[in-house]
Amino acid sequence: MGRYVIRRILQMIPLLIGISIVIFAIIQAAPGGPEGTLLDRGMFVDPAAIDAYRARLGVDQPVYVQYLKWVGAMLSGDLGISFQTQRPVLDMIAERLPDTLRLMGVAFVVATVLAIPLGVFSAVRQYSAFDYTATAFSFVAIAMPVFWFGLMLQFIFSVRLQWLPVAGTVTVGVDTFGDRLRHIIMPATVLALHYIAGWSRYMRSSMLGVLRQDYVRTAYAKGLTRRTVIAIHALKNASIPVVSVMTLSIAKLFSGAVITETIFGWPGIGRLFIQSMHARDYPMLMGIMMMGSFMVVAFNLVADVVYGFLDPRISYD
Amino acid sequence: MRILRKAATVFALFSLVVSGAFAGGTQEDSGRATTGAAADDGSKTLYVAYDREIDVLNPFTSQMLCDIQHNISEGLIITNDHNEFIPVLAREIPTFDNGGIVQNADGTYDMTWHLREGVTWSDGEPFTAEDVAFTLEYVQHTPEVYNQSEYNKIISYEIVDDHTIVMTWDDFYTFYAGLFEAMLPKHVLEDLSWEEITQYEPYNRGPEFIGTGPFVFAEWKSGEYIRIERNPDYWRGPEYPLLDEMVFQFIPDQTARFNAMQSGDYHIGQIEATQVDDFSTDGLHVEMIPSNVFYYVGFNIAPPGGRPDLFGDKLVRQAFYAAIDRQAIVDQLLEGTVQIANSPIPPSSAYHNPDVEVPEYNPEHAREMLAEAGWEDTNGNGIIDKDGVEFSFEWLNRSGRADRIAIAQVIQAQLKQVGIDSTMDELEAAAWSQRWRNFDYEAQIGGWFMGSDVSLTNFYHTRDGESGSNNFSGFGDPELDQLMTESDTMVDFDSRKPLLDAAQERLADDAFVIFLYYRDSPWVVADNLTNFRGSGTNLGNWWNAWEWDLE
Amino acid sequence: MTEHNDSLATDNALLVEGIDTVQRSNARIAWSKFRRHRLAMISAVVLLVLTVLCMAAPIVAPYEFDAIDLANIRQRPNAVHLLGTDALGRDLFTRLLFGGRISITIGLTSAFIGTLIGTLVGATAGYYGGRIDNLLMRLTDLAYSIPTLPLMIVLGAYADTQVLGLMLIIGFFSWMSTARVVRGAILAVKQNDYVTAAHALGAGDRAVVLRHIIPNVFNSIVVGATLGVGDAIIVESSLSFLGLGVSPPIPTWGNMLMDSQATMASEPWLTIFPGMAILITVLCVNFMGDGLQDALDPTL
Repeated sequence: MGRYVIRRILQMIPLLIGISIVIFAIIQAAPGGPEGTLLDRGMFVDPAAIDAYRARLGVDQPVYVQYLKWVGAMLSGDLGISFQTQRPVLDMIAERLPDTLRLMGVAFVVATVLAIPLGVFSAVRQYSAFDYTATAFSFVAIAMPVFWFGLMLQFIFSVRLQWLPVAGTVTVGVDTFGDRLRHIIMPATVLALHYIAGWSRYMRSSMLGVLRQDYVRTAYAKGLTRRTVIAIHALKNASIPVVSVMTLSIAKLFSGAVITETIFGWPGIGRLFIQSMHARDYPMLMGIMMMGSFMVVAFNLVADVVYGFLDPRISYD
Repeated sequence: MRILRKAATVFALFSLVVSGAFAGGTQEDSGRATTGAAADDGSKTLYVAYDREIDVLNPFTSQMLCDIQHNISEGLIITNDHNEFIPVLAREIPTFDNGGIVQNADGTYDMTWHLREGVTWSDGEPFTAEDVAFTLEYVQHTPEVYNQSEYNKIISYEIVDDHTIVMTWDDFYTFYAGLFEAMLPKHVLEDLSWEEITQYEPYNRGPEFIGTGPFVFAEWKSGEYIRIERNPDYWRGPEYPLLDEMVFQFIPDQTARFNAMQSGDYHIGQIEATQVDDFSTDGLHVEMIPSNVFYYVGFNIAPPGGRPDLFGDKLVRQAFYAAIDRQAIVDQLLEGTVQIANSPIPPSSAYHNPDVEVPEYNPEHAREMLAEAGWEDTNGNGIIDKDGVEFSFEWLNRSGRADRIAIAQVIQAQLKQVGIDSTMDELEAAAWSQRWRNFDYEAQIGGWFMGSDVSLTNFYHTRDGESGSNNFSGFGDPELDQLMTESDTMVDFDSRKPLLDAAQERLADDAFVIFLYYRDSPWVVADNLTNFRGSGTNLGNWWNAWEWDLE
Repeated sequence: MTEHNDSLATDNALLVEGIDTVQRSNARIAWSKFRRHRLAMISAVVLLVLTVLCMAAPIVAPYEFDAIDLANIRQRPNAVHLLGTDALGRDLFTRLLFGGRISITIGLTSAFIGTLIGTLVGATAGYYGGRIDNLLMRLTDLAYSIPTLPLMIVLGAYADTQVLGLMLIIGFFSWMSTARVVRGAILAVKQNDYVTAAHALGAGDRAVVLRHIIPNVFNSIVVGATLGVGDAIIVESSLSFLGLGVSPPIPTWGNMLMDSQATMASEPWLTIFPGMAILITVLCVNFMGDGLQDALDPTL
């Protein structure tokens, strides 16, 4: 096991280098540069000011020089300085991460609590009314564009009913638990809905597969009750692939939820990415993308290890 | 069939929830921020639905509108709701009449600023001429200040005493009074190099961002809001400012911002022209604020993207005025919230020329003009052509602003009526500006922000090689150039006005830009917010926030 | 068989013939299973009707998609304009049809591109194994690790993001899971005796993959591709929301939905109809995928 993990970690290195090159190339090649923000106000800008701006940011240098500088700094833990805000990229990510994690975390927990039972019951009562309802629900959830659903919720609960606030994590000056809760309900619902839809489908099919296995039949044959069989034997085995899917979803938490955060004025990483994209804030964009990628790579490994841990049939060598 | 019924039930339930919410009629239950003027402890907080997060607090290097900053960092001047400069930290604006400006023997000009006495920075240090000089030096050493070239016309300065500074200009410029809209605190930043100041986080980000203004910085929650608090030692007197706190909440999505304003949780926020008719919430109303922004159609004849074959002929360009139904755009599309423009100078400015004439909307006339220029549909495909070239081109359009995108589509359809074919390429801002700056486009629909000073040179002067104006179109008119340049050095209104009037007429006749309309910004404002007098200049709506109150 | 070395070719042909027959009957079984899956059948019919209607938009639609009529903007659904008109006075029903043409095309093409790339990569990796497998799978990991939506946002900012560009972008970022599934399935199938047998009988690589392996991983590919259509339609609408979708005046369901957001309260029909179009289409696609999964699953 130990050797397997070490080998996997070593494999991550070329992978991350590859990722960094791809990301850098794509971001740098996007049309327009950071000087675009100078013109965003629609006011006259002296061309000399634009050149000076580019020079100070270092974007007038050849791309490979910029890349090497960037990688060099990154290796020593420095993700660079944001063009837009003049602040270290790492600080800004660290500042935004807690809110992203809180939003995603709540969505994640809600989704887990709902998706697993939903999937299990759907599978156990395959083709029942419950199963069809659950299926219809998750398909509707998948089929609704996030921004549409989010704005719809806002319209209903903020404008019409005036129950929930539109934007932010907290009412400034009213920082209570209840207030924070009211702020997180809508964005977390929007996010959770998609997880619930996806995971419950996963759980259902995994459970269906397990229920058809020999050992489950054997358990029945031994005279165990249906409840015991499902709770003890089937559920455990059916969860294994779902757990690994969920582990990977955790990794994606770190890149934030671009659209949900934009709609609900949520100060997370996703929003930061959009802001930085409009400003062509290369260091910021690279930092967020690299962090997101790194998390996926790392959690991929975690998922595999967890999988091996849960499923004794798999052995690593 | 059972299955179907189940699915149908789910659907029905879902649509019930949705339609129920829509059909709910108007809910007369707004008991939130807008109606409550003061919190339980009597403090008054103004909640703002702000359309973006700003980049840095430093007002000189920020690339955005600095209306938040001006509440904290005051300048020598600000612009009011009539597009006029009014003194803030200066006792008065220097003019020839008050002896503040004198011409020297060598042709240079001395401009004397008398500063208000008894003003202190919010940390208690006195504000003096040293700070003004420091600010000037900083800007002259920081090339990315967008209007640094204007400051660079100041060739020297002299501090006469703590409250008097004389600046020497190489010539006279009309924008002289529009500079120094903010001040840097010398005692905080003097140990840093110019470059370090630009990157100095405590100043850019808050804790050390101090000014002489009615409010002081309190908190910046990254990505979410900026909060500023009352400055208890404000120089206008202990009763000012009347508000205790302002919170600028960042809500970038325009529909979300509209929802936020409708929810009644905020006192003030900008919405879109197309949303004005839909807005109705008790305790709030919409105000149209002239914004100094004019929209236009621009043509390009310069390589690599330009189309001299299409747009080189003045008659053809003028035909666009006759082909585009600007009145319909204004009345129908923008719900009458804006005014048609025939020139770049907005009616809120005294330099606006109301007598400029352009061809009226008349598609028949447009066809005739085009035919006179040799463009007719000879092959019967519905598109006019000349010498085997079809009149067909591509718009470069900027994504993001709903009104601009809608207008572009209307114009495209109207041009089709006179046989002009066009397609649209919609690009996001950064990509858009790159192509525009490199002349890599055929025609565009754009919007310019007219600064507080209405100089036209920077927009329309013929470009001279690599440098010069933002006239990325390949067009140029020497006579117009002369009018504009001359008007920039005119001292008083009476001699400047005729030059700018002539320039506006010349621009309309040259028609290398087709003016569409002056954009007015709809702002939703709480009924109980008093003394709000919106200003559409680049210095923003908060120019008199010290006297705002919630009643 | 070893006793009849001389008639190997004939036997091989027979064997292949046999498998073909088996496949044909498999298809019949699958079809009858699928038909029994009512929701899937209904979805398939709805989708077919929708697609045909949209593709025939130039014939069916009562107006032109860019026929602006400023005198009649934002009309409620009425006799002249079945679903009302939008902010520029264009007939919503017409735009819905034309929009569907683009959205469905984007959905189908992107899913096709994604599936094609995924199948090729997965099949090559799984079949050849070794270094090729390793290389291709690392490539898949790489593509998989980069957060997709942010990357699409970056790519969406490239010049000339028209329909074709959008299809390529979405397609290029949806092949990874197909590649993994196909590879996994092939690794499993490779162990099976009949593949070894076919190899032993001298069938070429291509033949083995095409005739023996692909049919057996067919169900995963088809289901994946089906769901991919729905995903692509949703992604298109998300990109529209971020201002990176298809340029107006060309309608897509995504940009129609986006354009109507601002007036959701006063003109709900503008937002409800394109929303419903997306919802119904993606819903049907998913039900159909579900039905196909059941129908093609050999263990059921």
